[in-house]
Amino acid sequence: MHGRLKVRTTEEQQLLKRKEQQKKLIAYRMGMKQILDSRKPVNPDIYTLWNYRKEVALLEINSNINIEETEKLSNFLENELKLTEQCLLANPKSYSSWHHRYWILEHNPEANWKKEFDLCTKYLTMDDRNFHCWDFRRLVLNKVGITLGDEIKFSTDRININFSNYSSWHYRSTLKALTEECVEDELTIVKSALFTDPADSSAWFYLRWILSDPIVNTEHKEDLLDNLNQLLEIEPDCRWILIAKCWLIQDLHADKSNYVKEQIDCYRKLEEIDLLRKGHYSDKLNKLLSAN
Amino acid sequence: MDYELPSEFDLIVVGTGVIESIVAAAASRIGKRVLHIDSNNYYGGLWASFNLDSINKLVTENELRNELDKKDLLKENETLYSVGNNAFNLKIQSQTWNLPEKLEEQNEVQTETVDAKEDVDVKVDESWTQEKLLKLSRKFNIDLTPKLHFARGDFVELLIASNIARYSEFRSVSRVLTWLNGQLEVVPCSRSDVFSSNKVSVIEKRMLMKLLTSCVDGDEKEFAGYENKTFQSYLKDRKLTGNLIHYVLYAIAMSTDDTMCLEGVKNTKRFLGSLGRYGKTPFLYSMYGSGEITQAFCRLSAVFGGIYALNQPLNGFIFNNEHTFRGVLCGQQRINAEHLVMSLEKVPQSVVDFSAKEYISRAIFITDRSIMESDKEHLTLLLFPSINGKRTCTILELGSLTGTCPKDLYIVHMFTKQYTSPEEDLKHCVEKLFYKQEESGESEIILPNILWSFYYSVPNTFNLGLKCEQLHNVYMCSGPDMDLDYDPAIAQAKEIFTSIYPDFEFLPRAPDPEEIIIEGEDNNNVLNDDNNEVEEHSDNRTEENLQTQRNID
Repeated sequence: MHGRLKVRTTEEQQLLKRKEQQKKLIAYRMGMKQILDSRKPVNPDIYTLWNYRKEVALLEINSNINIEETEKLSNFLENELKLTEQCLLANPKSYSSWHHRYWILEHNPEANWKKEFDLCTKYLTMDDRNFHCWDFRRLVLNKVGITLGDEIKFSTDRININFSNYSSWHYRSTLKALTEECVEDELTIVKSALFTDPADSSAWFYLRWILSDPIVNTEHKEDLLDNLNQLLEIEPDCRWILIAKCWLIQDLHADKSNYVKEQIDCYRKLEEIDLLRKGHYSDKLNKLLSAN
Repeated sequence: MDYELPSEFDLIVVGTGVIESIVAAAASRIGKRVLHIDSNNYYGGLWASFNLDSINKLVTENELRNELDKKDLLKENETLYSVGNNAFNLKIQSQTWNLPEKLEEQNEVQTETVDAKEDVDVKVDESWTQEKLLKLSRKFNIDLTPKLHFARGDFVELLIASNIARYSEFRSVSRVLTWLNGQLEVVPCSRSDVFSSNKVSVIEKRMLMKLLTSCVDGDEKEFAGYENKTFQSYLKDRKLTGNLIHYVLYAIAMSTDDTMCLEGVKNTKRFLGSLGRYGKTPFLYSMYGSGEITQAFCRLSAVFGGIYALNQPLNGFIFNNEHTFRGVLCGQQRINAEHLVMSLEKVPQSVVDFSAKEYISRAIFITDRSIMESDKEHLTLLLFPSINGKRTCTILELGSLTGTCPKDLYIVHMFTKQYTSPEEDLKHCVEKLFYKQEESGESEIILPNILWSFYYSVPNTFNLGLKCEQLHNVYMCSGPDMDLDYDPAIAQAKEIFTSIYPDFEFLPRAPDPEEIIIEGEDNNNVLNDDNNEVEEHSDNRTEENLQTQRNID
């Protein structure tokens, strides 16, 4: 037929691909040989090797510590940072590599903490589900002296984009203790998440953390209990709401008989809808029944 | 015409609108010989995009040609039909500059004292002139028919399936707005929007999320009993608050108070189903204007051997006694083909026994700031709800990041079903977005200034049921429709294609460049891989081919 393009069959394509792969393999082997000649093989998760490196690094640092010329040492430390970078590219969730990076920075009197901090921001914008990076950011934060206000904003931005993320909520909880001024705001944001998607567990954990703080007063809790009852009307089969309701009742009205009954109802319902944790709820229920 | 086109084709396509271009691409793709011609010197017809200079000089009348002295090119028993009619033209209502032609003070500025200059400098900075805008003319790509694409809609899926996506670039719409309680509001459409919106209470958040989930996942039972009721009544029964009903009904479902429940649900699904694929909203916009789309299809057609000729003096369609299509008269040349696909405005006057029943009122504005200022540039879709008996109106605001206008300027497109005239139909939106409201005390909001405006009507020919009864092997393509996306256009193109070529696949995936065997490359060499000598040889050949390819480039 006229105008019809000749297209390679899959067989031909595979052959071509194989040939190309062979070429690439040769180039790769050449490159690898060069790398291996100059450096040990990179496996970021052998902590024995990292510890050995740290010992060597300490020797290097101590031998250079009194010398005026700092260039040699900073080059050495810079190389160590580059190594961790390569390791993190290979495995972004490598405990040892993150630790080594921090350790090296700590031993560098001229460490560029601001740069590390900006790297974290970039990293978390691309992938915010890496708790290693969140932890690293927290450590770096102490060194840089960024204002907490800015950090709260960063945390809020990340949460606004995706609130189903334990790390970003947890990071928020580490930033500062709750104060009278901010407790309202925190309750609002966590309520927004609870109401948007009550089945998502991350915000419930954050709520439990807020409730553990003595600054949250009875009024706040009563308020929240009302909200939960409203939410329960819309979503009667959501286990998190029932559980949180029990936390609050236990906290507020442990000794009032009508509330005990409400708690019992909650646990009975939970036994029905959450079979995996049935034993746990039965245990709670028995304790309640025997105490009253 | 000082060149000759080949004289035999399988299919001649006249007009380069979206539907015509899709049919041309689909026919070339299956190996048919396609000639695609347009009497305009640009692609796209009523679907085209223009720079500022050329849209100001837009010609709307068709030049009707009927040169019957070319009889010697006709055979016995053949008749020549004239080309084109004026029944489906775009009608310009007004084109207005709200700017001085040139900056008048300019000469004075140079002579004035230093004290005065400071004041004037500020003014100069902000003031646009016709001259200044026209100097930037080529930075504008102004669509006659702007379109958005649902991220999982028919159009995007077709682009991906047919591999045409590589010819075009897109930018995602960054916010969807509505007009609520006398001001613009961002519509919370995704889960994270609902979470972060401070305009809806926590209870509303849950109600909205629940409703959206049930619209997407709900089975027939969910909507039982609502077959003959409106979508609004369904939303009311779900105990949604007024604001939520507004968001869902007028924005997400793009409906009105009279929209039936099941249609509203369908629209909601269409909207929500496209969320979360390419950006914060369900919509994409074609970079450098919607006019790019027709060209992407034309390019595919050309890659597969389609022949393209713009600015063609088409002198007539040739038919035999049985009213079967034989060919066209292009300049002095007769070109034969089996089938003819043409845009509606090219249909012979004598055959047109119908006219457009409906028109679309459209307006384009160039403005100096966004309708809703923000810290970054947005690509905005505003779904203006019907209030006080006025029709709903779709508004699109494009900034410089879309490649359709210069920096610091915006293009605003508005369209609605025609009722009286474009200016009259769109007046209520224009007033609300660009003119100060007497009642509102908020003077801080600086409204955008309209620098240039263009009001026009386009016939909505989509529902005319175009069937050419008296002529055979002829297919007509309707012009722009009211749909936000190209869904109806694609459906029509597919229908035309399958009625011409019933046994062929519609736009199967086009091969990537690396899968195409360049002429002269002997594929036997590739197959005899185990023979080393041959392999070396074939390597040389590949290099040679690369060389020739580079020369071609």
